[in-house]
Order: sequence, then structure tokens, then C-alpha cells
Amino acid sequence: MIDQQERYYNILKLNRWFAISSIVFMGIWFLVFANDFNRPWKKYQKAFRNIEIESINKDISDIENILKNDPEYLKLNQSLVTAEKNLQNNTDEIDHLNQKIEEIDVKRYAVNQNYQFAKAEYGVAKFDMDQASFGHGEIEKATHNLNKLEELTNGYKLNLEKIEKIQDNYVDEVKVLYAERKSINDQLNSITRKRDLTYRKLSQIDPESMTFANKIANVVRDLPVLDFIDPYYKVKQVVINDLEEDLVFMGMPKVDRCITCHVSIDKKGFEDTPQPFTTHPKLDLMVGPNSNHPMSEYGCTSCHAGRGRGTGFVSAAHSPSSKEQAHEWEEEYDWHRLHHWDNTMLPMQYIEASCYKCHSGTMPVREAPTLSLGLAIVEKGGCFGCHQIDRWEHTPKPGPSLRKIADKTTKEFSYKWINDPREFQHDTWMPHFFNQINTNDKASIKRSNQEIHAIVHYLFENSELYEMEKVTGKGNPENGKMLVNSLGCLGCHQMEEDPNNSDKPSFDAMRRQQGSNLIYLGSKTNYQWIYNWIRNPQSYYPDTKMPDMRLTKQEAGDISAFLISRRNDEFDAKSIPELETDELDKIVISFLGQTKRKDEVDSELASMATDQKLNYAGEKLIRYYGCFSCHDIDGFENTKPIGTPLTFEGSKLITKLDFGFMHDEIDHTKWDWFHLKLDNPRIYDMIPQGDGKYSMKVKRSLEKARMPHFGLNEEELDAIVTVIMGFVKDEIPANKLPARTTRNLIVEEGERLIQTYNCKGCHSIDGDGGAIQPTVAQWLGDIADQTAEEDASLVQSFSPPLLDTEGRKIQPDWLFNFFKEPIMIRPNLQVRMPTYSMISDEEWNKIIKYFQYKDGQLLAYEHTVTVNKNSDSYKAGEMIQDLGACNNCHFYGAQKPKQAALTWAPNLTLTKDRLRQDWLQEWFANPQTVMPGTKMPALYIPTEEPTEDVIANWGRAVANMNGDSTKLYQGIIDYIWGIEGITDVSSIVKAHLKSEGYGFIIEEEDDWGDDW
Amino acid sequence: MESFKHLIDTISNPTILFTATFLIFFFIFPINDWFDKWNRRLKLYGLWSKKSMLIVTFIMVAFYIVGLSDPDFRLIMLKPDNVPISGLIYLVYFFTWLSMHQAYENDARIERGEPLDEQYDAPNDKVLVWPDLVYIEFISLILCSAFLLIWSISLPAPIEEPANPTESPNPAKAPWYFLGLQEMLVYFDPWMAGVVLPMLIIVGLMAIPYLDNERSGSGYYSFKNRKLSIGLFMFGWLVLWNMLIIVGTILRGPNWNFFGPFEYWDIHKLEALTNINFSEFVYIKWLNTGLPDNIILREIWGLLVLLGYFLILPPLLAKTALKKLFARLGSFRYSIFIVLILIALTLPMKMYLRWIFNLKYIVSIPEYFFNF
Repeated sequence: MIDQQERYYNILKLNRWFAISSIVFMGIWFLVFANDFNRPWKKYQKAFRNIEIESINKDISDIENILKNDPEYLKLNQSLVTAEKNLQNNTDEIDHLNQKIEEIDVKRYAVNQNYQFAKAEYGVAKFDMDQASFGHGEIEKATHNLNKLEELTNGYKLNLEKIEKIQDNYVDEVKVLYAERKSINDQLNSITRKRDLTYRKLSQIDPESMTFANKIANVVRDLPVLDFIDPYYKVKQVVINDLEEDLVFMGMPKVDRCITCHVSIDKKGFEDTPQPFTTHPKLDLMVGPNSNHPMSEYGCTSCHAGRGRGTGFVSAAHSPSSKEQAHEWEEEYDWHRLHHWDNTMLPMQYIEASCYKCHSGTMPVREAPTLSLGLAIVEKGGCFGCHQIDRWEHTPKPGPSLRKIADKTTKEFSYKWINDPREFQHDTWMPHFFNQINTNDKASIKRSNQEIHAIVHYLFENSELYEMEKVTGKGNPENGKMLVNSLGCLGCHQMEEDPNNSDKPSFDAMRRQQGSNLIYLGSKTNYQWIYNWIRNPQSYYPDTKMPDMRLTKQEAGDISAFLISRRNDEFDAKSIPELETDELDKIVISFLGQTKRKDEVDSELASMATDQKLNYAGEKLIRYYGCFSCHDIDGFENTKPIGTPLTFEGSKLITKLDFGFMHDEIDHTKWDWFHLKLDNPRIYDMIPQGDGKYSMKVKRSLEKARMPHFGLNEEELDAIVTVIMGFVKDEIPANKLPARTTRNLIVEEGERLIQTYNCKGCHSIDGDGGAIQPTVAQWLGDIADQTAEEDASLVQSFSPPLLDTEGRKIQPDWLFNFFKEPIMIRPNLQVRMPTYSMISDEEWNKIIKYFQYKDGQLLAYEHTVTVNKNSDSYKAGEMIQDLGACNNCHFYGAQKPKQAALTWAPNLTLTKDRLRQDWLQEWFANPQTVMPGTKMPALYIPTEEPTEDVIANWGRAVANMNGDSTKLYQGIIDYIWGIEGITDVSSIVKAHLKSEGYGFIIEEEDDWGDDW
Repeated sequence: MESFKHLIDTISNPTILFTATFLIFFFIFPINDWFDKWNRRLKLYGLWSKKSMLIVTFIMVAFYIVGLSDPDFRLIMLKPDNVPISGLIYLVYFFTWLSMHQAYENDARIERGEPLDEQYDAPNDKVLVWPDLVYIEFISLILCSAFLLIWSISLPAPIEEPANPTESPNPAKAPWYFLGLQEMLVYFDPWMAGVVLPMLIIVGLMAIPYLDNERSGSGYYSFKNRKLSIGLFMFGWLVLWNMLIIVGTILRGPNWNFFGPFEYWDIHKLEALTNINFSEFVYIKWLNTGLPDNIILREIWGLLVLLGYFLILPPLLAKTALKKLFARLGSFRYSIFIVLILIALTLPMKMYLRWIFNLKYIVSIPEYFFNF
């Protein structure tokens, strides 16, 4: 019993308390270590280690199997056994020789030592000699010493060499004995190299294949506390110093630890292994060391976003792509959104947003179909009109000009159109402003009705006069239909009444939405207007992108007659509500009241006539709804955009987005907000009541959300959200951006122009574009038969040309003139290259340069070719073209081809001005690689035939070319250069087609050709 | 359940919550015989029995557990920053109970003529530093460290996104221990709430031993002889400090609006807060004229009120209600005491003036940065 003495507390009890608390404390320290040791990512690395071991074992067994059946391997093994046996037979001799070598080596060692000593002394003597010559020391003594030592050193050296030679002889003798075995082993090693390397790899990760010491090290290196030295399981990361994580007050180098769990993201062979071990699906494009975006330079989060430093499922800020995935993750990983990281990972459907960070200049962005579609929609839908977006700052307005609207259509149509555009044309990009979720109550509809009246009134009141050419007579609608189908209108326009037949939205499909869907024009406009518009689009709207098709009066009349013949009766039958002055007054008051007091408003209103009120309200409403953003309207030339600027919308903080009462309806993410906003732009004015019902927030008319409804489908929504998520502030260092070489800049610029003027609506370039082709096929089906429609090469031969090698192919000055004034090239084509008078010379030059740089054709000037008609080359060419029957298809000046018009090919008199000789060489050799699908056959030339046969069959001139294909092709080129005659054969073609038609085997019976 | 939550949300409204607290408080901590009489009649001292402690703790825990089923409540209470505040509620209650329990126990013992509970009978009334003090301090240190380690393992540090000057958090809250001060900012000029009042709190605390030199009931827990001092201190400590912290933590949401514990923190919530100064009451509401340009003239009424409050009320009270106290303390200590108490009382008073009359400041001279 402890003596309590003066102590207040029982010391024994205190000791116990102390003991207990110390033990508890120590226990908690273990907990601390355990907590630190037990990191969530370790289990993935462990699991992957097993997967990798399994995969290597499989590799090994595969290799072993191959070796087992490799006769060479088996034979070598056999030989090895024999060689070993032979060696065994010579054991005595080898032992004897080795003994000799050893004996000599002892001698050599002694001599070598002497030599080394002498050499060192000799070095000293040389120094002494130099010193003596300089005046320090006696020259005589030094000279004597030097000579003596030199002699000594040389003596030892000779001796050493002698001994070494003897030794080498013995060594060589031994080598000879071993030679057989060594050579077999070398051969074997070269065969089994891969296997041995794989075994070595295995021995590094598979404990079972390790040496005993390594086995122990393998355990020890990953023990708690000791695992700071060189653990096997560790956080793996890429650090990218020049890409910075924006931490607001400072930038921190990007550190991506994603590979800690996604261990095999850059390893081929795990494509089908479940996550997190799946190989990146686009290893050639991303992540892979040889791709354009290697992981070591770009990391992971620069594209995927998220928290690169996070090593846990939640802390890495993963984002699920769907509700189901979110649910799965919640179950499996206890996942929840990381609210304290602004830049959470992009869901897979929006991943292409990141491409835009660096590739914002290109259009389309290759390998990013969703992003490209989104960019096209932003452009087509005119998002940039209301929302300032830097990239599109100087882009022309996407909607038609309304300056001369009174001559184009009627007030009644305009009213109905504004009220419900998609009711008239199901795929129009004109969005719905009225009768939306926040304006479909009675009072709002009443107001909307009058608002539309006011807008229409303003537009018509301020419409300028369109001076139209008077049209006499009526066109032939049947012929008009043929023309629309064949001239190339359908490269930019569709004619599709059935919404279900519309193409799935894609960048390519958007090309045929360059112009409007040509349905129901009879309800919309009049014969005269269409006639004038298609004859000269710029007379109506100078900035239009609609080109001039060089239509004759008759053609224009026929097309107008056809287009006007189609009406939407249901739409026509609709009536429009009466003008109600009371409601109109309310509208006027709501605008006047924004800046004026009630008495001022009252007196102003009283002084206005109905016309003035309509005008006043119309002007205000056009400003309010932003009609001018897409349409050219008089008086709104410099009006500022009305929407939120979107240039950096993707970097916007989520707290700046008002989820209103929709916070329980959608996930709390930026993309979900944008998605819902685009899907239903007025939704954030609403209060959900369950069952899909909504009630309206308390708002006055002018306080309501006013973004119009575009009727976008899921793909389109995802595409636009992708674009918006791509509008980020991230600063990318120049070395990470696509190199700004002259070539890249020129190609980029060219692609933009080609996109703007929709060249790829008709032309296919490098496998992209040619949206018109299906309609050409359809037309062929109409004029011929089903087989023609399905014959891909026939369709191609009737489609606008592929421009794959355009830069190498065409002489630039000819191309420029062609752009300015297109002429007939392929005589069978009905599709017409339009005249783009709105494209400036500068832009044409950019397009030509684009083709040249794309094809690596940078020569600016080339020599003119003079043809000597007496040369062998020319004569050889003449013979080849004769035997090759080029004139079956090609025009020779005015001379018509022999075959039917179906196969007609360009006039060869055009060639010398148009094509480049280098390209022709390429073309003759293999037309199918240059222009896949072409009808041009590869030329047959005698390259391998015996000379006598060539002389007999082809003549002396060809034989003189010695079977050299380049020379033979040059011969043809020379010949073509010598062809004289007219270049424009269009009148001949027209006359021929009129009288004989194309010569399809099944002859068409319609009379469409009558007007040619 | 919903109606229960609604009830709690309703009574969490500051007007109700503070009024109820003010009304009940002095019956629980009676400062004079009158309150004490009622305390005994209502058997409120029963709160300090062990049974009551268990019941109250049970109710509090049950409320907490039941409350956690509500997502809004859960969001607030389980925020790692707020967990200590939950702890604070229980600890403050427990230690208040413990001291009051002891005090009543001692009072009872004295009445019965028994020795005090804390009586130490060692020679000279002293305890040795080693081992009695140092040893238990050391054990406490170890246990506290263990507790902190467990806490830090089980509840990761509430690290948020990198600070961003373009995005201030809403609500922007001070550290928990300053939330009482932040709450005062609602009713006082920043200068007063941020500088003058906190300074006076410190001065006041330092002044306590000089103001209260009563020997009886000193050195051990007791209540009977120190009703006024304990009652007043507890009022300041529990109501004007802790309660404000709890209100600031749990009931103040976006835009510093009040939210019940089960209410969704809707960032759009609006409260009509158009407050006016006393001068505007006098000139515009009552006299129907404009505000005079002269500052003195404009603020003279407010200044008079303040002068009356601080200069006339104390002697008046000394002559009437606080006659005995004045006699005991003497004029010097009385003046300091009464000024401190009156300043402390301005907080609840300003709360009510704000709630009932939308009064902003009694004296408002923004020209010279003086607002009260």
C-alpha cells in the first residue's frame, strides 16, 4: 500500500489512469499508422499486379508454345546437346590449355609490373629533361637518365608483348574448341530474346518468380513505415510544369495522379480489362508516348478535368455520365460530388469540350464529332448573335435579311411564322419565342398576340423596296423539280416535309442545312420573288451566302414555278388574332414605364396613333427579343447583343448559375444546368409542382426569361453543352498548342472558309463532305433506275468532284479564273459550280493556298511546256492514247467522245491550262488512289513487254521509251498538251443531251431534257 | 413529423427564441428574491438534479438524432466546421448543470451544517503540485491528444476550394468563436460591434473581481449568496455570448438571413429590411418635417435618450430599485457596474427596437463615423 502522505488523489489510481491512457494513446498511434498505410488506391495496384502477372504468364506460355513448334529452335537445341558432348570429349585438352594460360599469366603479371614501373619513371625523366632544358638541372645527367629509361621501358614492353602473344595463342585455341557451342547459343538467344525479356519482366513483379532475397525485399519494401524508401505500391504521378492549375491567386504545375489507379491507361493489351485498368481507347491519339498528346506532356486532367492530385475516387472529382452510373458509383465507391472543386471531371458525353481549349481555330475539329456538331449548331442557330462569343465576333448573321421583307412575303404569313415557326417548317433554326412554358397562360398569350402584331408591323412598315425584274409567263414546275434535284441546290438545302425522315444530327448533316428546307414556299412567298432571288440572290441581300447558279430565265422560271407549287394548307388555313388596342396599350406602357413616370407615359400614349404604337412596340420588342441578332433589320445595325457573353462560360463558377426552383430536378452541375436551359430555356422561371407540372414565379412580362426555344434533340443538346463547356479561360502555353506553322495557319483558315461557304456540301475533301451525294443518287434513280441509284461509282461520277489532291492537281491561276467564272469540265455533270460573287479575291487566294499547303504543293511558278510534235515522246503518247481509246470518254476539242454521254469525261484541251504535269504522272499511274471511285481506268502501258513485241504492237516511238513509265506518261502528257481546239463544249453537250440523252440502258421517259 | 419540424423552425425565429429566453432565464437563474420565490414555487431548481440532467441530455440527444433524418438539418449539423458547435452545446449545458448542481448541493450542506463538498482537509488547505496537479494534467493531456487524433482521423479537415476573390462564400461566416460578435454586427455599427463592445467585454471581465468583493460563497460552488452575480454573469455568458454563437452557426444562412434548423437554405430568401434612424422617427414620422441639416439638431433627440440612459437612469436606479446594491458597492464601483450592465443590456434592447420598430441607430452621425 502506497503511503498517501500529503497527496490529495490516490496515487495508485492515478498510476492506473496513466497506464490506461498511455495504452489507449499508443493504440491510437497504431491507428494513425494504419490509417496512413491503408490507402484506397493500393487495392487497385495490388489487383493490377495480379492481372499483369497473369497477362505476362499468358504471354510466356504463348511464346513457349511458338518456340515448341519452331523447328529452328528445336534443331538448335539438338545441336547444342551435340556441341556440349563434343566439348566434353575435349576436356583434357581444354584443361591443359587453361593450365598453360594460367602459367603464362603469372609471368605476364610480373613483366607487366616491371613495365608499368619503368613507364612511370620514364615519364618523370621526360619531365626532368624538359626542366633541365629550361635551366633547372643538369642537361647531361637528365639526357643520360632519359635514354636509359627509354631503353628499359621499350625492353619491358617488347617482352610483355611477346608473352601476351603466346597467351593469346592459347586463348584462341580454347576459343576454337568453344566456338561451336557459342555460335549455337548466340543463335538461340536471338530466337528466345523476347521470352527471356518477358521472364525478366515477370521476375520483377511476380513474387513466385523472384529470388529468395528479392522475395524478402518485396515484402519489406511495402511494410508500414518502411514504405517511404522504395515501395512497390506508391502514388504514381505525372508533373507537367508548363500546364498550370488555376488556384486563383497563383498557378500550380499540373500534377496528375490518375495513373495511381488507372495503372494501365497507357499500356496496350488491357482494352477489355474492366476499369480502372482499361487501356485508353484512343491510344494513338491520346496518352500514348507516340501520340500527339502523350501523357507525359499533357497529363490527364488537362482534357478530362477533375482533381489530378486526388488519389481517391471521390477526391479525384469523378463525374458520372448518367444517373445510372451515378447510382452505381454511390453503391460501389460511396461516391458523391466534390463540391469544393470548381473543375470537376467532364462526363464522357462532354469530353470533347476539352479539345476546344487548344483547337479552337479549326472547323471542324477532327476526331471530335460532338464538338464539331456543336460548333456548327452555334453557328447555324446563331447563338453568337445574342451571346457574345469571341470566336464568332465578325460572323455574318445566320438568318435572312428582313430589310425588304414586304416584297418577299405577307404580314399574315410573318405573323403565323413568328408565332410558331416549326409548325410551318419542322426543322427550321428559327426558334420559338412565344407560347413557351412561362408565357402560355391566358394573359401572356393575349399579350404575345399583340406583341407579334407589333413586330410584324414594324418590319413591314420599315421594309425597303425590292426592285424586282418583271417576270412574264409561267415556268414548268416539272422541269423545275428536275433542276432543283440536279443543279446542286440540295448541297445546301433540303426538301423534306416529313420530320421523321430528317438525318440524325451530325456535322455532315448540318451541311445540308446551310440554306432553309425548301418546302411550302408557296405559302411563304411568291413566284416573282423566288425568281428574282435565285437569279440574283445578292440583289435582295448583299451579304447572303446563297451563290449565283447562273440560271437562265427559263430555268429560274421553272424552278420558281416548282417551288411555289408546294403549299402548307393546314398552316394557310390558320387565322390570326385581331389587333387589340387595349392590350397593345399595355405593351407600350410597359416599355414607356421603364424610363418614364406615369403621367408622362399617359400623355405620350394618348398622343400616339395605333400605327405609332405598333411601330414603337415593334421596335422595342425586336430589341427585347433580339430579333436583330440573327436578322439584318433596319435600325439595328450596331445594337449590342442581348444575352450573357459566353466566351468563358465553361469556366463560370457554378454559384453564378441560378438553379432557381430546379435544384431538386437536376444534378447540381454546370452541364446539367446548360442542358436544361437549352432544352427548355424558360424553365428557370418555373416552380415544379410534381407530375411534370409547373407554376410560374411571380414575374412581370418584361422580367421573364426570354431565350427562345430551339426544339433541340438530345444529340444537339449534348453537342452545344460540349461547346459551352469548352469555352474556358485556361491559359495554354504555346508549345502545347498545335504548332502555328504557316501550313497549319493556312490550312486552318482555308477550312474555316470552306466551312463558311459550305464547299463540302457538294465536294468531298479527304473523305469528308459531299453531303449532296445521296440526293444525286436519288436523282439518278429518278432519271434512270434503281441500279443507277445504287451504283456508287456512277453516283460519284455525277456528283461534284472530290477535291482530295486539288493542290497538287490544279494550276493555281487556272483555278482562280475558274472560281471567278466557272466553266464546264465534266460534260456529263448536271451539278453546277455556282458563282460566288461575295467571296473576295483574298478569300479565293486563301482557299487556293489551302489546297496547295494541304497537299504540300508549294511551288509558286512553273515553266511552260513546249511540245515538239516530232519527238518520240509525243509520238509515243499519240500511240498510247490511240490504243487506250481515250476518246471513248474524253472530248478532244469539239470532237465528241465515242461512247454515250453517261461516261463522258473532261475535254482534253482544257488540260494544259488546268492540270499540273506532276499530278498527271500520279494520276495515270493509279487513278483509284488519287481519286477513289473515279471512272478513269489506269492506263495500260508496255513496261514489262519484250522490245520486239513493243515495236510490233506499239511502234518504234513507244519502244524508244524503254518501258520507263515516267517517260511513257510524259509522252501522253506531251500529246495532250498538243491537242488543239475549243475548250468550252457546253453547247455541244447540251445539244447532244437534248437529242440523245445520257444513254442509260433503261432510257428515261420524262421530258426533263427537253429544255437543254 | 413535418409539423414538429415546422414548430421548431417557427420558434427558432429570433424574436420568439430570444423573447422566450429573456422571459425564462431569470426564473432559472434568479437574480433577486422575487425571482427566487418563483423559482422555488415552480420548483425550477429541480433542473439541477441528476435526474433532470439525464432527462435533458436524453431530450437533446434524441432531438439531434431525430433531426439528422432531415437533410437540411443534417447538412448544417454535420458540416465538419459545425460539429464542434454541437459539442459546445452539450458541454456548455453539462458544465452549467455541474456547477449549479454543486452550488445547490453546497447550499443545502451549509443549511444542514455539513462541510462543503469541495472541503479539503489537508494541512493548510493546500495541494501539492506534484503529483496532484502535474500528474492529472499529464493524463488529461494524453487523453486529449488521443481524442484529437481520433477526431482528425474520423472527420477529415474541412478543406474547401482555393479561395477566390470573385466568389465570396454566402453566408460568409467568421470563425465560430467570433460568431457572437458577427451577430452583433446586425444590430450595431461595425465600430461598436467590432471594437468597442468586445473591448468592454474584456474590461468588464477584468473588472469583475474588483466589483464583486463579496467574501461569502467565495472559493466553492454556491448560489444562495451570489444570486445577482451568478445570474448576471450567466446571462452574459449563456445568452449574449453562447446563444449568439449557436444562432450564428446554425440559424444564419445565405445573406445572413434567419433559417430554422429544418429549413432549406434558399439563397433567394428575402426579408424586408428597411430600417430607419431615431432622428427619422422624430422628425419625419412624428413631427412630419424633414431632417434638419444641422447634425446636432438632427441627432439631439437620440443623444438625449442616450444621456438619459447612461446619466439619469443609474442615479435613479440607485435611489430606487438598486438601493441596497448601491449601498453595498459605494458610488464608484456602482457607477462602473451599472454602466457595464447598461451597455450589455443595449444588445437585447437594440434587438427589440430593430424587430419592433425597424430602428437602425439611436444616434447616427455617419459624417463622423459615430452610430449607436
